[in-house]
Amino acid sequence: MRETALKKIALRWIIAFAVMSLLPFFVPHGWLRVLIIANFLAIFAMSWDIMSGYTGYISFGHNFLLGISAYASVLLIHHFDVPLYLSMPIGVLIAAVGGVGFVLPTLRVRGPYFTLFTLGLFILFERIMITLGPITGGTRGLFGFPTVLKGAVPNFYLTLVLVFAVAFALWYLGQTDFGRVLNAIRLDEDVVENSGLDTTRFKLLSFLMSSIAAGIGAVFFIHYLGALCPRSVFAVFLLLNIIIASVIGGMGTIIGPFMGAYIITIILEGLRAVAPGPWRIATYAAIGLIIFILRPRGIFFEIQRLFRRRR
Amino acid sequence: MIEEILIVGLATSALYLVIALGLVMVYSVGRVEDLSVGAYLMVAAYIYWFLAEGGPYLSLPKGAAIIITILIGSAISISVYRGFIRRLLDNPTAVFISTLIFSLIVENVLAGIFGEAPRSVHPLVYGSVTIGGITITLNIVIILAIAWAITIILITFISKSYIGRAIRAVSINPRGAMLVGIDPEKVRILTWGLCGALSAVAGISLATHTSISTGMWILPLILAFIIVMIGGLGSIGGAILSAHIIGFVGAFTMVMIDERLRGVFGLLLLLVILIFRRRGLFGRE
Amino acid sequence: MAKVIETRGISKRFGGITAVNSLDFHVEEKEIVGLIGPNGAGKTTVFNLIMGVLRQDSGDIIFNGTNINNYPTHKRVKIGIARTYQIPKPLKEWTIFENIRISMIPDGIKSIRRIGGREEDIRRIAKETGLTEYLEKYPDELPIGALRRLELARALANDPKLILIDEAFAGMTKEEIDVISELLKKKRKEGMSFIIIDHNLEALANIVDRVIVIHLGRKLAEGKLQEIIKKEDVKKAYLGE
Repeated sequence: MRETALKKIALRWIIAFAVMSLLPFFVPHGWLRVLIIANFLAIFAMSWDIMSGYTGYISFGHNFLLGISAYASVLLIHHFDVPLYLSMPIGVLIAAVGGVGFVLPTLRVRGPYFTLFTLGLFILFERIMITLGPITGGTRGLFGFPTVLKGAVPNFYLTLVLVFAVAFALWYLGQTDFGRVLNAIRLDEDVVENSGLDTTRFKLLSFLMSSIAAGIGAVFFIHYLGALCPRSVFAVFLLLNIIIASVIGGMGTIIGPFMGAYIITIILEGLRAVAPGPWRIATYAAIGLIIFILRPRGIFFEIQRLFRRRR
Repeated sequence: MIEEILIVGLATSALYLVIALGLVMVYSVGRVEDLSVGAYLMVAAYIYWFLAEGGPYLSLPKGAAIIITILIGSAISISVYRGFIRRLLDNPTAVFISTLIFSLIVENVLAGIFGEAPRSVHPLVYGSVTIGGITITLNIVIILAIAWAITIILITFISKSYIGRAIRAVSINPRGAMLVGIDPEKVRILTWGLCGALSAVAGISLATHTSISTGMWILPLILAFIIVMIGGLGSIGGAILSAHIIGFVGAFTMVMIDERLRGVFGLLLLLVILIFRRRGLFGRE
Repeated sequence: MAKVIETRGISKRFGGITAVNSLDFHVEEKEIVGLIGPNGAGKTTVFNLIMGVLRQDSGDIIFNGTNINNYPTHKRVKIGIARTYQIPKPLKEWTIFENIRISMIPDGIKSIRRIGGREEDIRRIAKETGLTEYLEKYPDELPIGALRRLELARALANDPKLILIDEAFAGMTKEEIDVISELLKKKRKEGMSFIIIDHNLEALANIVDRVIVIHLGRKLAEGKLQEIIKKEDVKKAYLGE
């Protein structure tokens, strides 16, 4: 019984991957670039989800994690000529160490205190990066550093492998008892603690995993763009994309934020022709807000319910 | 130098205190955090500018512009509350997320209407005064006076008036308040309206002090929240003290170090305080 | 008889109110102790102090000869103290089966590799607490008595030496009270100890070996229930006469 369920699930993952890997044969290259960004957004959203979606500790500081790993890798290359294959893992490591180090004191802090603290952390770090102009390039940023691959098709496959690796790893975590406990922390942290489980340790682990996944996404992202300025990692708009993708897809499901990233990419691209400039973002955010208010558990949950009813 | 820090510190403290008081009140009656306050503030700043200086068609007297702006500020905050916050009151997380998304919508709608470039706004009053050898603009003196007047009126209102007592009753125990004939929903609408009005006053003051831009909602929002958190959620006395800590730290940074680092030390301070006292300075266990 | 738990002069103040005032008491192995007193006497605070949810301002808590003052809640649970909540706190999105199982999930990183709890153990506990029929249901489908029994089931699933029961019988039918009483007696035989808060003195009388009466955070009296309730000061505190 369990064996067949596993096979079924593995099959679904393989089919999804196969279908998406056929995309370059059907869509124009311009679209591929959009899908590459969607893949990165999906990684960011899923890495946010394993922490905030599961435990209910809503972080508004995800850009902080993206920022420190991206800046770490780029600064190492720019100032110390560290090769790419070294600077990228160091960037991920920095996200893990820095992320956990900064958040450690706040894990005792609950609810709004935690969220606003993380928001503050992200704004704080952005300002420091802007102020340290001589080192970081200030507002204009740094550019001309190496990219991992060139061309839309290779980059699409790179991001596809990345996004599926991250998605599968985080999804699997969510299915284990570890994921169950994170979910229980969201439902009632006292009960979890009262069941002999060290909630601080669980939150720390989930944050560590979130940081590592975010760091991986960020270093590949920045070495895809080939340019780094505060706006590329610290934009409030990016934070909102991460959160909207997660909430309309379905928090605490990993698959939901994955789907959400694609949905918002389609919405944003679709609106390009209809609403120019800021109106596009305003319309998109309004759509996100309405979906969230009407269906707070997200689209993935609704799809699951639909299938369950049909059976 | 020191005089400048003193004046800027006092004025910004008072300004942020006004926003923070709105937050404190909203939290005490709704047990949620409304992250749209930055958006209320920004909308008010733009509306005031449009009414008072909106070109050949519109140039209302400043007093009229202020009153209309405050009314619109309240109307917006009440509509946000009635529109979706009310549905999400049992889920503070959802309020957080939805109000942040709302702020983004407002930012882009304003950018769509007025463009993204910052605009300068005339001061409320021109001229300057010299006190003890330092020259300061009258505008900042007026802002300081208004902010303090509002703070004092608000505190008196909450402790003395019937509505103020109703607000306190709902904040302590909504069900108990209902038993004595207070409708918590009405109190919440009123409080949200008040929060919108306070944010509007802060928005107008900020606009006339510096300029307006579509990114102006973030820093006041964060600083006001830092003040509320350092002071302890729901504590007015705590908010007054922490507003001055943050205001003076900010003024010191601005004058002595670098203008761009304005919020940085406030944030660091918050970090340190939260490490040692996880519910702020005056928050209860 | 060995003492399972002992408190030495524990006090806890909230603002100006002293909720627990230099309280000394102990529970022996295989003993069921009733903790009684009027509302607001500080009973639940005592439980919160024993569990480490709150830290006492002064005094010591000793469990099996070890001072546990500095133990966080989860560690106290691991060494053998469990508690139930006065207002049941089930995980609303989880089935009853999973609600019982949470106490058996391994801590920390181990939870990724190992699935916690054996089905037979969960079924046994469910049977003991009369929850078998509800195992696949969700908490909002259960009557209040069953939710109380779920609290007890979750505590038992921690495999504790001592269980603190906050309101054992409130909202339960006569039959349910009998079932729970028998279960507690059986568990005592197996070596468990209990501290029970309840207002139903009649039900308590059937199972407790001893009661401790607290009033305004202080210990007012201690001894056999039948003798205690005859004392004048206890009557006065309890009945407000």
